[in-house]
Amino acid sequence: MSLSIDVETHLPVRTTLRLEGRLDTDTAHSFDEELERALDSPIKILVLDCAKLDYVSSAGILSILKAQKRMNARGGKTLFGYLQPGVKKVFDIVKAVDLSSVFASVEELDEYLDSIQRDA
Amino acid sequence: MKGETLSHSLEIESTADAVSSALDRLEVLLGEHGIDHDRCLELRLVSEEVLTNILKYADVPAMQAHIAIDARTLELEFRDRGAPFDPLARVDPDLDQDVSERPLGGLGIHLVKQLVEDVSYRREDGQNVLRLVNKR
Repeated sequence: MSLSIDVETHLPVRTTLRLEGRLDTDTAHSFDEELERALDSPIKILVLDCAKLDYVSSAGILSILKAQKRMNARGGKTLFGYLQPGVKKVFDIVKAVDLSSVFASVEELDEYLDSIQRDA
Repeated sequence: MKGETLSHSLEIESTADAVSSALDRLEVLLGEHGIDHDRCLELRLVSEEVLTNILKYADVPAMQAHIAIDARTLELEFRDRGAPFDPLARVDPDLDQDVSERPLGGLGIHLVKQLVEDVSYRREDGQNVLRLVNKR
């Protein structure tokens, strides 16, 4: 099964990774690679747009936990735009994300980003 | 739609590709036998967790998966001829630690335990057997 990752940058502050497909044992490494590329810039906000992420297994969860650890280590944040119900169920079981960082839609997430930039 | 009972065994070589193909096959089989899409993905997930665990930790050339569906239950059974190992005996991961502090292991089996109604391990005929049973 496959994963495609679309990258949108708003440097120097933010990069969005748009995930489409499945984040599992086979595809987690390509997410890890994209994450490394994103972390090469001094971004403080990593957005994971999961609207088209259909499936995540523990291999994918590990990648997501690592992404959060790395962003936390540089005083940054990881934000999640829309989790499909099946994916959210898995995230909830393993408490993979801080629920305050999950947004119900891309619009909500954009509003939040606009508001923090206004305050910046 | 094929008849809604099923009994099927898969022999899976201990490679990532073979596990991936087996999971694809499993997903198709489940869909063909009346299991809705979301449940197919959940069942794929628990199978992925079990099979990749065997792949990672058991020194075996192959593993077996058996799927049985009848009117009342859906059962998945996974077998390997590795050294005796009960994946259920491990301590559950501490999920409440801060994301930065958490050690990263144990999530797969935790997911299996939470998503499957009845999970059991036994050692039988020189094999580790992990049985996952859900009501239909």
